[in-house]
Amino acid sequence: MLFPTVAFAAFFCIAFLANWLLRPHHRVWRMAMTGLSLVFYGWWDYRFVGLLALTIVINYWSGRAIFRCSPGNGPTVLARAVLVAGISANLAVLGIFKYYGFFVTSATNLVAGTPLAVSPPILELALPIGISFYTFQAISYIVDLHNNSLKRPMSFLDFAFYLSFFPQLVAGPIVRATEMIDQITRRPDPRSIPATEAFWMITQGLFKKVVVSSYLASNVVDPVFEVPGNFSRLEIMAALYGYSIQIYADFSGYTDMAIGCALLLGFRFPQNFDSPYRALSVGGFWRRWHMSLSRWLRDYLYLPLGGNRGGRWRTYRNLMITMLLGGLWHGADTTFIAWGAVHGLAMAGERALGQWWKPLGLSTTAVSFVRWFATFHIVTFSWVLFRADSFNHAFDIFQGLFAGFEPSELADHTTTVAILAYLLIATSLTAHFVHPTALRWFRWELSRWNPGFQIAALAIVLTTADALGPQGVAPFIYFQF
Amino acid sequence: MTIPTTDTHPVSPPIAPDEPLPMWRHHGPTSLRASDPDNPTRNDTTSAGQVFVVMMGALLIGAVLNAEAMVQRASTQELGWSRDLSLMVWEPVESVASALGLTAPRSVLDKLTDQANQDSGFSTDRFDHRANEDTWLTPDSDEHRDDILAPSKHPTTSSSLPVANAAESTSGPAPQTEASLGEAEPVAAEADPAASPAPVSTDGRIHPTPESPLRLLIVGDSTMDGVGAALMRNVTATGKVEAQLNYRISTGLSRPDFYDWPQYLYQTTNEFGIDVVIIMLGANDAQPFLVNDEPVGYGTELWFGTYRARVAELMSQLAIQGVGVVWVGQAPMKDETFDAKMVVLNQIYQSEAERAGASVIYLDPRPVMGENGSYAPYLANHAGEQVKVRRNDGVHFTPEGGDRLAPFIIQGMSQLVALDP
Repeated sequence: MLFPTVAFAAFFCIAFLANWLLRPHHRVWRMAMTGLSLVFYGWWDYRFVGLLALTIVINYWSGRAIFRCSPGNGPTVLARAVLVAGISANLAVLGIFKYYGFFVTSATNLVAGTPLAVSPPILELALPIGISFYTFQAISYIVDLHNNSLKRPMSFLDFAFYLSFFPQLVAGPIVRATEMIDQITRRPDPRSIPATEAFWMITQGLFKKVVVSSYLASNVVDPVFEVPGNFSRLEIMAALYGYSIQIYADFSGYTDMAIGCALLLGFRFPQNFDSPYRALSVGGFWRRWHMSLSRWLRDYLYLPLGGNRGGRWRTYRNLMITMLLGGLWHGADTTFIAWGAVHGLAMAGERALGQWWKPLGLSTTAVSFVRWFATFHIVTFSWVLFRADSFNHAFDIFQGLFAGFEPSELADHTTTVAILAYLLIATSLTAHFVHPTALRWFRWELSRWNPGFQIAALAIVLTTADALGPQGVAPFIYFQF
Repeated sequence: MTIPTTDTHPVSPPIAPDEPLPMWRHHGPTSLRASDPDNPTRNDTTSAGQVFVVMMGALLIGAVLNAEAMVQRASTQELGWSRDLSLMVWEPVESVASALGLTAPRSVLDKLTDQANQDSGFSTDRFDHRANEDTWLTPDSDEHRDDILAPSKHPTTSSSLPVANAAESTSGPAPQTEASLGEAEPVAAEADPAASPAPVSTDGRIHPTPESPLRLLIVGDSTMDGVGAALMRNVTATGKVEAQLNYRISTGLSRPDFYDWPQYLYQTTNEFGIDVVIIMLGANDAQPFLVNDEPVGYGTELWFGTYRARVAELMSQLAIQGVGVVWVGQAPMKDETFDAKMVVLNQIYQSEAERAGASVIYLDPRPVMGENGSYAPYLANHAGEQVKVRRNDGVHFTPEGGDRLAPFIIQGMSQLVALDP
């Protein structure tokens, strides 16, 4: 079930009632909410529910076994073996459902024509939605138990509730067990729900997804990416900026709605986006973009590889490995790996250059602007690899953008892109620089409104979003990962 | 050994509003309470009961304000209990709302957004923009086109044009359809010079040049995703084609109430002087539809008769308008039951294309997109590498699948258009 649908609205009303009415009965509440989450997941395809249940059982037992094998004085070899087995099982599930076809065809094409040529069977499996997200959460759970950051395993019901909790199930944020465990165990006060904040997040997410992302996709981005040869340099550039805004609006819009829904149910998720296009470096971008994934990659991949403790070259190596695998996580294709490589190289480059501006004695404003401009364009150009179907396709875009440039073109401003699209891109980018206090003040004012006005305001927002959006909502970009 | 799990800890009593939660304390400002560092005494929280009232109230009022759109959306669902249920809920809401004039704000909004979409003139009306610079689409030629194509300007109101509604009342092709089928060939052969910018040579094919390019419209349902883009890239690379792609998900010929392709095609081909249309529809069509308000299920004689009449009508009408049609059938599907249905639809397209005359070409993608005529998820690309050509749903094409199918379609189109240098 997609968030911006009537079906979800009805589902959420039921979940909201069940949540607060059953909350005093701990066991029943967890069972009911887990059941509702499975209904939510099964809405796409009932067969996926089995896979989610399997992931829950495997990781619950791995967690218990790791705990059992780690008496007081730290984890034993056996605990480590169980951990490796548990991680392998999770990666195997991910590998079979998400990467099997990619690896098999890559291998087949690599050895084709050599004596090694093989043709292994090709499975065709539907990619279960959200699989990348919940397997990562499961891995973090067993690693945390092994490292003792989680003191004891969760009970089966707690764990099932945590892994399947519907707001974060299909596209994050990637919430850790340590962040959920107390929120499950301790009952929040039903008299104090941060409703204004939650409704704000939900309506903001709705607008980002249904209005901004859909409009830019169908009016600017999709036509240009389909046939770049049909468009001028200016139009291709508009599509690139447009895609930067589209993917941000799409994904952050989804997590905004997820965070808002969770708040209404008494759960606070970690923030997932913090004005990412404000970043002054690519490293800074990753501290603001899909923060729960960056944090996961840092703690469960970059730091275990040695982080920056092994000297300069080891740090670069670790950065590259992290970003290459981070790229692959987004999709089973070489273009995603290349996208990760660009970010890895940029981050290694930033480390190598250090604070290059210091000796130059330039004004800080000018330096900040240059750094922001460079970062935003590295990120925007690298999205081409993310969006393009193939390297050839990405090459077509860059060719259309750079090949045969003549200075006289600068005077030619004809474009078929609507002014509204340029305005939307500019506004969305400017919104990154609005100080959070301004919004906090606004929210505070809203919260003091009479409930009648709040109802009217929400109803108007819902109607407007539905009228401005396309008929039927396209799936979220991040769902395919 | 019993493992102490989180369950062994008793549930804490409800937390007093002012007590910060221990776990959230060391995580910074992440208490459930909305935190305001500037003014921590502010309390902008609400009780669950009030939240529920606000939520339900907003949804109900939103439903009333949106009632028309909801009925519209419900009625275009696939026929069945889910549609009946939705209509049962939304129709009374809509009648009350419109009686009270509550649907007016939404109508105004819809008009405004329609206006804005038309002004944007980008993806839907790309030809329009180019047309301003063209000499051949002068007001004169437009008028001329109006003379011969007057009915299609207002296909929904015109009685002289036997569109889908006429066909729906009968179980087979309507008499008008038969008549127009007979006319199709000569009209198409004598393509009006004003209507077609691209010169037609003695071999009966259009010979476009960079100066007078072919105007090509590519339409379809979601299976056109991937194929459409590849087609666009291929044809625009020749430098002799101005192409426009318009595919719409969940559409077909079964449910004109959801999206009316015939009306769109008659109007667009006429308005923009389209020479050739590539059509790939049908994957959504094996579903029931209404004939005289009675649901007709797929597989019945009435269903096939009505569907065949619609296909015939669309092909012949486009032929009369002097538009070449390249109809691409359905590729092999993974699901065998579904595939069998598509084979039947392909037979309809093929036989109707043959009857419609030389300007309508049917292309069967089964040989090129299958392995010995059956479903194949992986096939070789032009470099001989095995690539994934179908999406995991076993229906849609991947971009690589599009790259494989597009040249086949363009080659088939060469019966109508000379694109070789």
